[in-house]
Amino acid sequence: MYFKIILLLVFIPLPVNSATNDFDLICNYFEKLDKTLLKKKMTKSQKADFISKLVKDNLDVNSSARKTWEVVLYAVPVERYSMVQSTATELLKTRWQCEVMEKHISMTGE
Amino acid sequence: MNKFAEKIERNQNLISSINQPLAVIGLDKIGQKVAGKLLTPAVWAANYTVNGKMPDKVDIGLFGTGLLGGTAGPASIVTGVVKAVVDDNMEQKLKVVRNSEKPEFRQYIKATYHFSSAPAAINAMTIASMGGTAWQHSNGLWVYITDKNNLLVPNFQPQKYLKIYRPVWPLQSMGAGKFRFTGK
Repeated sequence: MYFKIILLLVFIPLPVNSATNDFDLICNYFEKLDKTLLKKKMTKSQKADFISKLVKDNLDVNSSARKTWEVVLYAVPVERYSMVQSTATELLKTRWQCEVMEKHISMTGE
Repeated sequence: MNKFAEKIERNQNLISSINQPLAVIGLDKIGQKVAGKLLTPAVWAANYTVNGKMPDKVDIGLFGTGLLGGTAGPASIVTGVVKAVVDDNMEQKLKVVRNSEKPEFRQYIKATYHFSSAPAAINAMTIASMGGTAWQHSNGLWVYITDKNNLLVPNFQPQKYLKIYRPVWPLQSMGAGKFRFTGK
């Protein structure tokens, strides 16, 4: 019982909302994509490669956001944003959104 | 205790990725301060339930020599307790999910939690991308179904669900054993 009490105390204040999370980082990568698209045209595959390279270079292989990104590319394009949003919201326990991702993700990847 | 178990299930990877602030708060809460390496058994427990990763010798040494008040036991006891609580909570929910479906399907319904080390919701999408049906029951548990040969079932229609992921039918191959999937 002593262990359970300690663990409860540790878990109650879970600060998941206060830390910069990996979903926000992917949102930042879409900001970069958005700016890059002002300068040059990119195909859907090139856009996906652009984001995927940043994800691979910066996020741990065990990152939930990275895993979400890697699988959501197989989803029906128009449903991708809502899938990322609902997954992030479920894991972060706070409503997560990223307007620039919503703008581009359905046209990113095949 | 169920809420505690759910916190672990839902936050497992986040806990692992942001263990530093979690450790600081955890130690403050129990009135302990320590310079240098900060840790909590909760982080170990989360790592253990996700990856099977045990704390290193330094962690065990600090924990066992009184960092948490001197009465704490080996880390393996903590991880065992946590894992048992999580497993028990999930088993209870899985029973409810199975009972919502037709008897002939019940034994083939499994929790996505055990599919890989990713959180259950991500596993559900992964299962759908591999040609299976995964859904979230109204009790919050993510599950999927296989046939008697342990193969994923692409077009299963659960009777009760909040959210469902499955491949587009007819199947659309995306290469590398993956399929286009949809969610509702």
